[in-house]
Amino acid sequence: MTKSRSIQERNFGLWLLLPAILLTGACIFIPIVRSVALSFFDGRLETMSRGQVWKGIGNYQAIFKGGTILHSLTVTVLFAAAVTTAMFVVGLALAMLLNTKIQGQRILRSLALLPWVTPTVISALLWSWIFQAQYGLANYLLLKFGILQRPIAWTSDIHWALPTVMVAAFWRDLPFMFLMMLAGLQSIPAEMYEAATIDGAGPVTSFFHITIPFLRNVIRTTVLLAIINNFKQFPLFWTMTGGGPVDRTTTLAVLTYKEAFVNLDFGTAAAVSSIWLVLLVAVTLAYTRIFGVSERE
Amino acid sequence: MYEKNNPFNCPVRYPWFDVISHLLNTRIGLVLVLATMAIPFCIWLIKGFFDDIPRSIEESAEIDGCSRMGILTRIVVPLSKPGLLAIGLYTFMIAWDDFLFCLTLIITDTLRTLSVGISMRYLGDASFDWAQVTTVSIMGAIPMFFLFIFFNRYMIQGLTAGSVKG
Repeated sequence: MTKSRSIQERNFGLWLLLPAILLTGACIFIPIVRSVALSFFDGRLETMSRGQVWKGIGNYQAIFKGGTILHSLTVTVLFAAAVTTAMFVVGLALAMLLNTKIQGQRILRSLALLPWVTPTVISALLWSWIFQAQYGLANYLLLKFGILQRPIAWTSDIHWALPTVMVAAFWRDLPFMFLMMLAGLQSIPAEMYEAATIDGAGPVTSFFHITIPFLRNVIRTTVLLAIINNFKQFPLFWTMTGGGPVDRTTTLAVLTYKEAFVNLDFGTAAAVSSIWLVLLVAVTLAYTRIFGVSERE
Repeated sequence: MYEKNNPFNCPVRYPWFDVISHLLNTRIGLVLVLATMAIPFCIWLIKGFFDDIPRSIEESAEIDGCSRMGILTRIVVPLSKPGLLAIGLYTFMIAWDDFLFCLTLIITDTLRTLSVGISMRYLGDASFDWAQVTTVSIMGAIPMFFLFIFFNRYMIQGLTAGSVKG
């Protein structure tokens, strides 16, 4: 009786899952498999009509030869690491600030969340305007306060292009981090802090011994999501810098797109995205292994 | 600067894509892909709501003669309405925000969604008309701001209910 029931339960669940499985299969898994397969074939647009030509690891050799992929990888890792770290630190600080009883906290919270509903491309455009070389606000203020001697063309400057995009990414995704941290903070019982204060713990001690342990779950989920998100970031780069100047902001996402739709070589594009995929899966697995996301206490 | 305006200057013909080629450059194709991209996040989010429904409610409904499907439609779904509203709002946000899929799957200008439309219509290679760019940016963001103002309670609750538990 119970056994047939559990089978029934499972079948019912499978039926409900069927549409999701079909869609993810058709729109995610099959394209991934095809893309990995394509990376071993000649995928140049001009020769593709002649049918499939096996190329072995030729595509991989091509992207490793000029150091293109290593450069893009460095840019991507740098970008993801910097933005995620900044988001985590500032997000946590902001959440702790707005978790205390200060005036107008409700309005401040809603305001803090606005960037998050702003479409990514629009935030890219607004930041491009702020960092615009001749009329931008950033140059105006920095010149006015004497921090800069002459204006910088932020998005086309070799040293400043990447940090400029980082600022936009940080601004766009900070609210998500902040919101999750705030929700986590609100789930910590106030008695905890009272008890700690009575026992003579200072604010630093209670931060490390109460706040951080309680936020563990939230932190590992949100940081992982932030890493994945920044690793995949495309619209900001494409709209603000287009991967330039001199490839200084060509991340793996931009490189894949350029190989496929600018150089019209789908083989090397597939090779780049296969490496990218493997890396992202490896990072995610390592992260879950180290921080134990899949385990539940 | 790289050629941004039309990545599909040359028509892409590729044998493997024949099956999907009918869905390329159509609204329904874009809808299916974007819906799929939202699935993982939505499952993660709605699970928090389903977990909150006590098992005993479902059991008592079953004793009262409710079928398995009936339990789902009459008990689980009504009780997780805020969650359903939240995933609806998120999927809407994801679709509104989409850039990559519209850029790669759509060729016809009239089918383009907001993000790509803005970047292709208003961003020139040499210089932008900043007055137009900022106007269109504000116009594109306003609907989302309104949505957020009216529904932010559900969006925040939906997100935090599913995730704080880890």
